[in-house]
Amino acid sequence: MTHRAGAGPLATKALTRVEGEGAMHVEIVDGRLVDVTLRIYEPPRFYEGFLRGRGHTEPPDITARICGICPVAYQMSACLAIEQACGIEVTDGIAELRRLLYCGEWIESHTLHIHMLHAPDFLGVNSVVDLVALDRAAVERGLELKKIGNELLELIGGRAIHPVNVRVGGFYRPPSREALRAFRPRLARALELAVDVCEWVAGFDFPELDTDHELVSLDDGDHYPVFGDRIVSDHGLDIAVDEFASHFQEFQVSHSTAKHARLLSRGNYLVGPLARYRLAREKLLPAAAAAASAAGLGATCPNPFRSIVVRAVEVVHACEEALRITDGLIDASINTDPGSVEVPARAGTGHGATEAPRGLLYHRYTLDEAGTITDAEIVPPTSQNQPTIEHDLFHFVESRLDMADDELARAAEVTIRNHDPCISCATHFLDLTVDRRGGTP
Amino acid sequence: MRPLVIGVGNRWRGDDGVGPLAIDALAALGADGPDADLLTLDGEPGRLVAAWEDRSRVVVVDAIVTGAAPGTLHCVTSGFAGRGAGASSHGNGIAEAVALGRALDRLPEQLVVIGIEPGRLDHGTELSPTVAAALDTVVRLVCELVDEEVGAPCA
Repeated sequence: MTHRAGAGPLATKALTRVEGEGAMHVEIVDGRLVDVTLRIYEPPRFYEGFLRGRGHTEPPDITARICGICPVAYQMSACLAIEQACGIEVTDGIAELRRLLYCGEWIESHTLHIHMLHAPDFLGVNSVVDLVALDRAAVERGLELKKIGNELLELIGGRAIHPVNVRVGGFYRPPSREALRAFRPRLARALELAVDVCEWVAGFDFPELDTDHELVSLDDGDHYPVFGDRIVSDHGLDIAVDEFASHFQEFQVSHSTAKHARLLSRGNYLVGPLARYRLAREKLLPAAAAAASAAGLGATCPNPFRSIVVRAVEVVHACEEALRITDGLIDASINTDPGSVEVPARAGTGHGATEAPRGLLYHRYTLDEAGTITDAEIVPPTSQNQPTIEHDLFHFVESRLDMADDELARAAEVTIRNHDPCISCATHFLDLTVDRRGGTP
Repeated sequence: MRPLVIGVGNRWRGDDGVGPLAIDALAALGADGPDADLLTLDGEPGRLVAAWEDRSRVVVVDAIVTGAAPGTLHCVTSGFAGRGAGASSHGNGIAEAVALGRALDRLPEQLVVIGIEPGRLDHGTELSPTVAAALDTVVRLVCELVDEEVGAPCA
């Protein structure tokens, strides 16, 4: 969509290096920034409707299809919500196996974002293809690391795109010890690669931008957050996942089909790597903590441009966590027999939240006594972050109004990619328009 | 080595599901295993490159938007990347995958992309009638391509 108003050329650019489709509009009047809006076409609304009338065992399979990049997140949040509605808790072994599967998704998704979407922004090239000419070894290392994440997804989930081994209550078939033993060297290799990637991205030049958003993530006890029953923030929020609807509000905006979300009486907030890092840095495993220190990260990372470094640290952590769990499964200190527990239907409402690579993903289901879903709600991280992304964009663009439109458009794209918005439901590109009216001030 | 057939798309996005549905149809014909390896992917370039990097012969089936009438078939080879960005329904998936594969010397010796012009890409699991009608032709085309390699009937 291109707006023409007043004199002056307009820059329109397709933004391809985000996952999916959306559109951003920047409006400048008399040299003053008036509005920045991000439109995203979001799938959960469709799936929420589609889930009504379905059986209580179906959400993991159905919701996994919302996103090809983070199907495990959808499966895990769905399983937790359904199991809570039915009053079932899985065994510690199943919980650990779920965490291992999730490690595969973090490794693959973050590595994809770091290398194919975000790194080109800091190295002055337009795409990962151009990056090959600049630093072929870095691209090859990224692809190798990403592939190991993919292999882990296949080993535990049966398939990488829509894992088929996940069911409400656990797994259809846990991996054999032999398979895990054979895979372990791959994880050790992944850890080496991840540490190198972290060192690589830490050396990029980052624009200065300090933000002060409320940062929200799950509290996962002793673990760096992936699961957890409580939602916490750096501004003192500390609530049960069940209380999500009492503290967070989804709302419609006219410029997007995606609902936005805000904290009631508090406003915008941010979920994802920066939030997890701020709230749980001390829970990083040793190699990840060392990588964070070596990368120059302090107790918090207020600059969203440096989120690429935090993602790299989280990949190191995921590799270490995967090794820890794999070793436990091999030496049988983690027991996954049985691979699942029965989850008989009963009437009730259940809530589940997990940390998708992009941040907190909340599911709620209401079941009748036969287990039929009567209501479903899915709040993905991108819709929670959208007002905050717009806020970042506004302030970033505001201080760069003297840039040429195409330069400004590129800078805005980078700002969007800092938060890795997942809009992969969609079919085309993010079109970015800059609308300049009037003259310069 | 058997040829690899990759169906790209999301079967919950209307005609975008034509790639995965072609794979279903080929599997139903018994093509998986003896004649070819079948795979469904979402079009993410890194996954595509990883899937085909060790292969000599690959056929990709995907919904491709060019503005032609729904159901129109496009059969293109590795030169696809030179056609410019933006044709695939998955952002720049296949074009970028081909460009990345070429830059890294990870392209199969022969790569054929069969594109189907979609009619509707909104949520839903049904193909539009014109694309559903084209699916049979797509499957036949894939079988012919596979037959050229293995010299055996696909169905």
